[in-house]
Amino acid sequence: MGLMDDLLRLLDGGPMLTVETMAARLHVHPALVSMMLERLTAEGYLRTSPPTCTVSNACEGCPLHASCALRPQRQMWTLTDKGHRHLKRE
Amino acid sequence: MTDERSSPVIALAGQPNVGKSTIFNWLTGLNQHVGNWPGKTIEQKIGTFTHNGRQYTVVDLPGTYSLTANSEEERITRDYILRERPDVVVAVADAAVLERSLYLLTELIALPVPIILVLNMMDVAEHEGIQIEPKVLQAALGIPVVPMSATHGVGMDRLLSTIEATVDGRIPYTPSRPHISPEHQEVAEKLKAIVAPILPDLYPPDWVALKLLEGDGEMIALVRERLSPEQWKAVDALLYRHEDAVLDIASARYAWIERMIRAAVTRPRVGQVSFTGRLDNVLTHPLWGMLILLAVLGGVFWLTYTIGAPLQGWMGDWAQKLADLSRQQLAAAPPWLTALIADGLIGGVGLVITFLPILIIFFAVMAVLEDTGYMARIAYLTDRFMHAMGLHGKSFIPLLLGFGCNVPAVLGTRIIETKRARLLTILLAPLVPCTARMAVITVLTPLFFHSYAPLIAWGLVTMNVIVLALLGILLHRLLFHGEQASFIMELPLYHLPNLRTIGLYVWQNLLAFLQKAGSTILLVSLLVWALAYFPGGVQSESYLVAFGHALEPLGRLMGLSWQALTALLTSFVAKENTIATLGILYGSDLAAALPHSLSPASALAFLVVQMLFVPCAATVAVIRQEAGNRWALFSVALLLFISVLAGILVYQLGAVLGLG
Repeated sequence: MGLMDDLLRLLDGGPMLTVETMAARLHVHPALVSMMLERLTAEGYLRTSPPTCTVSNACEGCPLHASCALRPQRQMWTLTDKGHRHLKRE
Repeated sequence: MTDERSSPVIALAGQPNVGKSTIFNWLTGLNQHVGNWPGKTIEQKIGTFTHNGRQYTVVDLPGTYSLTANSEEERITRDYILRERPDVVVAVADAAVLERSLYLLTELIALPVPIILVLNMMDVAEHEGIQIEPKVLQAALGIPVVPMSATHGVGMDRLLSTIEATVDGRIPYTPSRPHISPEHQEVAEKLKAIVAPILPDLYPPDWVALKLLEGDGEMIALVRERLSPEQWKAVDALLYRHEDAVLDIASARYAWIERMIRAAVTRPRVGQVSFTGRLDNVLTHPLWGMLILLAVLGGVFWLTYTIGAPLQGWMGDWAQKLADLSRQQLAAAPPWLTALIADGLIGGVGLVITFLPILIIFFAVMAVLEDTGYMARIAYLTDRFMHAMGLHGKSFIPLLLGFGCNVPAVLGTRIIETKRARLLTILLAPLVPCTARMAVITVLTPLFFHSYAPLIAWGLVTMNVIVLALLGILLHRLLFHGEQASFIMELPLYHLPNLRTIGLYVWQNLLAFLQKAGSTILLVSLLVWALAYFPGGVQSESYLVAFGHALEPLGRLMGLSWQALTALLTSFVAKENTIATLGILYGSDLAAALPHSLSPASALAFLVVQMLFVPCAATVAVIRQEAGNRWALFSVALLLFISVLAGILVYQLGAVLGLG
C-alpha cells in the first residue's frame, strides 16, 4: 500500500494528530504531508473541518470567539464517508 | 520536431510564482508577444532569443500545480505539450519549497518530451539554510538540473547551454519515474492494450492509461467516444473495480518526491521551527505534556488570585462605601428605593463588577497562552485524553468550543454526522466549564479558601474534565457504538505574545461580560432583590425566604444555606447571577459573610454543584432546538442529578473529615 493509504490509516481511530507527528510516523517531510492532505481532500477522502464554518451562528455570543483555539485558519482534516469506505475495502 | 520548425521551441512550465516570467523576460527581452491562448481568456506569452547563432522560440505556459485537467491552465499546459511537442520543457521549481514543484515534475516526466529542471530561487533557499545539491539531484532524477537565481540573473548562461545541449541531444536523458504498485501496473497495462489502437498519435497510451486510472474526465470522454460500447463497458468495469488507484498513483509520486528530496536536500534544524519541535517534544508528550498542562492551569489560577484578589478587595471596599453613601443620600427617599439601589443594584450588579480585576488577569493569562501557540497544544493534549476515555474524535471540536460558551458547543455538534454521536456530545457539552462558570469559580473560590484558592479552582476544573470523561464512557457504552475518527491539526509555531492581540482579547471578553452585567444580570438582580424585599420590606418574611426554606431539606444534605441554594438556582438564567444573588442575600461584603455562613465542606460542595449544575437557560434552549424536548429535559435532569449527588458526596465526605 502507498503513502496515502498509510496516511488515511493513521486517521482511522486514535487521538488527534499534528502534521508534524504524522510526518514523523510516515517518515516524510511535513511539507509532503500537507500536500497529501490537500490531494486527499481534493479527491474526497478527507474533509477540512474549520469548526466555525460549519455553523454560521455557532460563535455568536461566545466570549472566546475572537481568539478561539480552533479558529478557521488552523486547518483540521478528518475522514469522509469515502475515506472510511476506502479503509474498509483494504 | 526541430527539423520541421524554423527554430527549436522551448516551453516554460511551473507552478505560479516560481519565477517563470522572470526567466521568460530575461530570455526574450523585448522580443515577445502577449496574446491569449486560442479560444481562452488566459494570457499567452511567446518570444524568441538567439544563442550561439541559433534562434529559439520560448512559450510561457500557464502556471499549474499538476496536469490533471482540473483547471483551464492545466488543460492548456498538457494539451500544448502533447500537441505541439516542444523540443524542451523547462520545468521551473522554487528551490525553497521543492516538494511542491516536484509534484508537477512527476507528471511532466511522464510525457514524451525532454525536461530540464530549473532550481530557481536558490538564493532564497540558501538564505533559509536549505542546501540543495544539483548534481546529486540530477543523478537521482536522470534529467538535467540547473540551479538559478533568476531575479539576479545567476545561472542564466548555464540554462542556455543546457537548453542547447538538450536540443542537440548531447545530454543523456534517462528520467527516473514513479512506480505504481504491481497490481495497478497490471491494470494499467490492460487499459493500455485496449486504448492503444484507438488513440490519436499525440497521446502516449501508457500516459492515457494512467490518466484513466486517475479518473481524468477529459481522457475518459476521449476513450469512451472512440471505443465500442462493449469495449467501453470492459474499461468502465475495470476502472470501477480500481477506483482507488488514484491514491496509489499519487502515493507513488509522493514517495518518489521524498526519495529525491532525501537524496539531494539538507534542511536546517535551527531557529523557530527547531525550537517549536524541541518544545513540542515535551509539551505534547502524553505524560509530561499532561502534567505540564495541569501545572499551567494551576499557574493561571495562582497568578489570577495572587494579583487579582487584593485589587478585588480594594474595589469591594469601594462598592461597600458606595452602598453606604447611597443609603445616606437617599435617607429621605422611600425605603424600597433605598434598598433597591443599595442592595439590589450595588449589592448585585455592583458586586459582580468589583471582580473585574480578577477577570482582567484571568483573560490576560489565557490570551498569553493563546497567542504563544500553547492553547492549540492544549487542544491536542485534551483530544488525546478524551480519545483514551472512549469519546468520539469528532466530539472534540464542539466540546472544546464549550470552554468559551456552551451555546456554540451545542450548535457545533452539527459537524457530527451520526445522530447518536451528536446526542452524546450535546449531553456532555454543558460539563465543559464555560468562561461564565469559570468567572464565578474564579471569583468565589478565594472568598472561601483564601491561599488554597488556586489549588481548589484547579481541582474543580480537573473534576469537571474527569466527570465529563466518565459520563462520556458511560453514555458511550449505553448509547453510542460507532466508529472513531481522528483529526489532523496544524499546530502553530511558538512565538512571543503580541501585546495588542492580548489587549484586544481582554477587551472583547470584558466587553461581553459588562454587556451581560448591564442586561441579564441586572434584570435577575432586580428580580431577586424584589423577591427578597417584598411583600413587607423585611427579608426574613419575603417570598424568596419562603421559597428558600422549602429547599432547606435538600440544602441540608449538602450543608448549604437557602441563600446558597437560591444563588445556584438563579445561575440558570446566567451563571454570573450566582455572585449577584449572593451579594443581595448576604450584603455586598461577601468576603466577610460567606465564610461564616458556609463551612469548608459546604463551600466546597457549593462550588462543586456550581461547576456541574444545569447550564444556563440559553444553552438549554439550544439543546431543545437541536435535540428536542425529551433530550433537553433529560440533560437538565441528568446534570441536576449529577451536581446534587456530587454536592452531597463532597459535603458528607468533608463532614466525616471534620470540615463540616
